[in-house]
Amino acid sequence: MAKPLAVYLHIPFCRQKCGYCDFLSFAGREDLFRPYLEALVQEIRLLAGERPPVATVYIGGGTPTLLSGEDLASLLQEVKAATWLDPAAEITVEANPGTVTLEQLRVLRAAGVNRLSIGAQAGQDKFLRLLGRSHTAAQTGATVAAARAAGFTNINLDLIYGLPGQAVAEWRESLEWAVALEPDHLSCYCLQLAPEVPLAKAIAAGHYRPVVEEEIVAMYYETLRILAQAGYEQYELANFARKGYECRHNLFYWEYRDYLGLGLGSHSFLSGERRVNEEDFPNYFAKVAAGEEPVAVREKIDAGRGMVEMVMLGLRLTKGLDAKEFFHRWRRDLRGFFSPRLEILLEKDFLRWEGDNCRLTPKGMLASNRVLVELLDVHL
Amino acid sequence: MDQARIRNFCIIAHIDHGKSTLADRLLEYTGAVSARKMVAQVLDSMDLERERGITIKARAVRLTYRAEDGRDYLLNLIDTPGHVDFSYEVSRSLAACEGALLLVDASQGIQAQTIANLYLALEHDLEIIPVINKIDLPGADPERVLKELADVGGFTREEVLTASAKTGLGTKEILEAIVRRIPPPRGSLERPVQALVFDSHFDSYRGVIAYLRVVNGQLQTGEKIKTMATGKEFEVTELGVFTPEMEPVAELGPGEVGYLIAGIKDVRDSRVGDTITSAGCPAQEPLPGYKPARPMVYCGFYPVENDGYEDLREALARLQLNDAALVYEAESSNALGFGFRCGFLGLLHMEIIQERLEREYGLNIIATSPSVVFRAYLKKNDEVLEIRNPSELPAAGEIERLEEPFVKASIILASDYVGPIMELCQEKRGIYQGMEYLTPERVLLKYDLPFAEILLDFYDKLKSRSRGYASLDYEFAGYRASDLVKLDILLNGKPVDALSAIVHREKAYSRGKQLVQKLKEIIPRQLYEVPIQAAIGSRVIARETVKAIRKDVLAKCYGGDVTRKRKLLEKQKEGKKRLKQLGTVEVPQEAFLAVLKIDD
Repeated sequence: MAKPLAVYLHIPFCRQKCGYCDFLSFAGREDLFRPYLEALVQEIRLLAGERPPVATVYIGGGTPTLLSGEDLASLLQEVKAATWLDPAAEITVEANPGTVTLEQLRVLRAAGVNRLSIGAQAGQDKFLRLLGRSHTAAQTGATVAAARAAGFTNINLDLIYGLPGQAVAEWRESLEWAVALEPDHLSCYCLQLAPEVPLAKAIAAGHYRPVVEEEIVAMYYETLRILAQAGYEQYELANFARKGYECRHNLFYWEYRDYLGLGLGSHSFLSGERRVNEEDFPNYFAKVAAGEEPVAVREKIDAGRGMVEMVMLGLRLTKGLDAKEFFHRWRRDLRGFFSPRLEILLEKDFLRWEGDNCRLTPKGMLASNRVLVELLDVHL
Repeated sequence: MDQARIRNFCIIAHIDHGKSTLADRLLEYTGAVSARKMVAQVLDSMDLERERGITIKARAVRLTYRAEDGRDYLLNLIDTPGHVDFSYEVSRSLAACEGALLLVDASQGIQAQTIANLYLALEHDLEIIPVINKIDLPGADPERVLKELADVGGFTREEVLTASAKTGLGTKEILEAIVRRIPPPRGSLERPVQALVFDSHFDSYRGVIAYLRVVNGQLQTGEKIKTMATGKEFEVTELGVFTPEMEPVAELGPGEVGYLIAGIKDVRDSRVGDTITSAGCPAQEPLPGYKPARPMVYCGFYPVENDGYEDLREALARLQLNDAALVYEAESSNALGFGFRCGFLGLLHMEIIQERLEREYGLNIIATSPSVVFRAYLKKNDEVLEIRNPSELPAAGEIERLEEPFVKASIILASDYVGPIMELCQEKRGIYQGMEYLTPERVLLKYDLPFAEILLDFYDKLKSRSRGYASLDYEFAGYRASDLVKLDILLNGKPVDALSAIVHREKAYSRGKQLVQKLKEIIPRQLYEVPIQAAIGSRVIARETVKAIRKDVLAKCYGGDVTRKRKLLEKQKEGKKRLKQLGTVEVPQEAFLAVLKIDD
C-alpha cells in the first residue's frame, strides 16, 4: 500500500485582506462560496478511484471559518469518502478570531476536526490594527475559550514579531499574553513582507520605522527563552509545542514526504513531482468541471534539486537531518554532498553534527538562508 | 614626387577642442572623403577612442589640395594621440611633420596639454599655425584666446586664424595657410634611406603595417630593409598611402608619408621612433629621438575564475602584437592566484588595455591597484632593485633607501582656483617650482610631484577643486629619495598581497584608515565577523570590522513555499559569484580597486 499523504484544502476567501498578506485569498467574493465549494468537492472526488491513504487533513486559507460549520464538515465528509482517512488522523482547521462562533466550533469538533489553528498574530490591539486584522486581542482570548468549550484539546496560536515600531518588550508582552491563553502549540514568525503588499508600501513611504536586525535577533532569542520556560519545546525554526502536540501535517513538508493540495492555487508534492493548481477561478472551475485535475504547473524534481530541497527543509527541524535517511533516499553521503565550508560552519557553531545527525543551532537557524547557501554552494 | 608640393602637418589640440571634427572638414573639403560617405570622424577608428573622445593611435591621411596659386599640393595630415600617457608617441608624430595647426577652443582657451605639445612642436622647429576654433558658439571669447596665444607662443593677431570646424567656417583659409606657411620637406633623394616609424599596427592577415615618414632616400617595393633599433631585416612587400583608404604605391620618396608592409610579425620589430633604412645601403646613423618604450605604471591582471588564466595569457599576447608599449609577465598572488603583472605607459593606457580585455576578449578580470616603479637601494652589495609590485619590496631592515619617480607638472587654471590647487599640490607632496600669469585670469602653475600621487587621484581632485577648469600635463623628472613604507591590508588577520601598497610614511596612517573604511563599505556582511586591518610591518595602524549577518529570513516554509525558497537560495548563490574567496572571506572585485579610489 502507498505511503499516507497529508492533504491540504484551500479556502481562498477572507472578510478583508490584511496589510501584510500576500496569500492567495480574496475579500468580498461571497458570490463564489457556493460554486467554489462545489468545484472543490468535484476535485476531492477525483481521488475516489485511487483512494489514497491520508494521515492528516488541513483546511487553511484564507479564512476557512468564513464558511459555515456544516460546509466545512461536508468537505471533510467528501475527503473521508474519497480516501482512506486514518481514524486517528490529525484534522486541522484555521480560524480567525471574530469570524468564528461557539456553535460553529461545536459543529467542526463533531465532524472530526481535532486541531484548531487560530490567527492571533499579536497581543496588543495597536499592532492588530497595524496589521489590518479585523479583531481585537480580547476576541482572540474569547475564541480560545470557545474552542476549549467546544472540546478542542489541540489549539495553535500564530504570532508575528518584527512588526514596524515593535519594541522587544512589546513582543515579550505578546508572547506572555499568548502563553497565558495556554495553547498547545505556537507558531512564531518574523514579519516578511512581499514588496507589493500595503504594509510594505507604507514602510517604504516612511510611515513606519522598520525593526532593525539586532532587535529581530533579540526577539528570536526571547521567543526561545520564554516558550521554553513555559514548557513549549521548539521543534522547528518557528514552531513550538507541548510534548506530543507537534503539527503532524506540517511535519510532512519538512520531512520531505508527499502531500496533496486541493483547491485554488494549492501546491502538491507527489512522487517527486511538484504541482501547482490553477490560481484563477475560471480556469480552476473549467478544469474541474471537465473532470480534469486543475493543475497549472508541474515540475519534476530531479535528484540534484531533490537533495537541495530535502536539506533546506530538513534543517528547519530541531531534530535535524538524518544522514542515514538522506543516503537511503539519494544514495549520497550527506557530508560529501555539503561544501567544504561545512567545517567552518561547524567550527563557528552554526551547525552541529552528532552521529548521523546534522542540525542547525539557534544561531544557525537565525541565519539559516545564508548557512544553506554556504552548505549547498555548487548544488544551487 | 616634388617635395616642394608636399606639406606634412599635424593638429595639436586639447580633448574636445575639435581636432577630429577639423580633420573631417579638411578631408571633406579636399574630397578625400565625401560628406555623405563620412561617418563622423574617420580618423579615430577604434570604438574605444570614439567613446572616450581621445585619439589613441596616430593615423595619417594624404589630401590633395588645389591651392589659390592654381597648383596641386599633397598634404599629409598626421594625427597625434591626445593624452599625456602617449607623449613619446606624440613627439615622434611631430618629428614626422614640418608644421602644426594649434587648435584652441574659443571659449575654453589654451590648456596645459596643448602648451606642452606646442613647446614640443617648437623644439622640433615646426611652423605653428594657431587656429581659434568654435568661434560660432555663444561662449566664444576669441580676444582672450588671442592674448593667451600671444603670451604662450608670441603669436601675433595676424598669424591667428579663426574657424568653426563644426560648420566648416575657415576651412579654406586653414588649407591656404598650410600651403603658404608650412615649409616643404627638404630631404635628399641621393642619401641612404632614412624613414621614421611614427606608429605601427598589427593586421591579422598582413602582419605589421608600419606608418612612416621618409626623410631621405627612396623606399621601393621588393627592397630589403633594416630596422635600425632592432637590426632586423625584412623585404618590402607593399608600400602605400592613406587616402584615407590604403592605396598601394611603388615607391615612397623623401618627404612622403605612407605605410610599409614587409612580413614583420611583431610590432616590437617596428617600434615607434625607429628608423627604417635600406639593408643593402644602410644609413650611417638612425634619425634622432628613438627611445625604447618604458612602462611607467604596473598593475596585476587576474582572471576572476581560476580557469581563465590561459585565456588571459592569449589575449595579452594578441594585444601585445598591436601595442609595443605593453609588457607583461606571469606572477602569482596568494589572494588572487595566477595572473600577470602588466606594464603600461600610464593610467589611461592601463584602462584601455583592461577595457579591451573585457570588451574584445570577453574576459572577466580583476585589476589590482596600479603602482609606479620604485627603486630600492639595498644595504648589501649596493644592489638596486626595481619594485613593480609592493610584494617585491624587501624587509625594511635590508633597505638603505627608497626612491620614487617624480614628474614636472604644469597646471593651467583660472586664477580664482590657484589657492585650492596649490593646497592640493602641497597635500600631494608637491614641490613648488613657479607660477606664471598667461592672462590676468589664467595661471600656469609648476610643481614637481611624486608620480604615485598623480596615479592615485590627483587628476580627479584637480578637476573637482577647480570646477573642471584646470588642465594638467607632466613629464618625467627622474627618481628622488622618499620616506616610503609598505602598507599591508589584513582580512581576518591574513595579509592580502593584492591590497598592499607602497606609500609615503606621512600618508600611511590616513591612507590606512581610509582604506579600511572603504573596504568596510565594499565587503558585504557575511556569516562571520571580518576584521579589516591596515598595518606597517607588524604594527596595526587602523582597524574596522564588517559585522556578521545574524539574521537571514525567518519566514514560514510550508508546502507552497518550497519552490520559492529554493529559488531564493539560488539567487543568493548567484549574487555570490561576483565575489572572490580569500580564505574564509568573500571579497567583491571592486575591493582591489578601492586602493585607488579613495575620497578624502
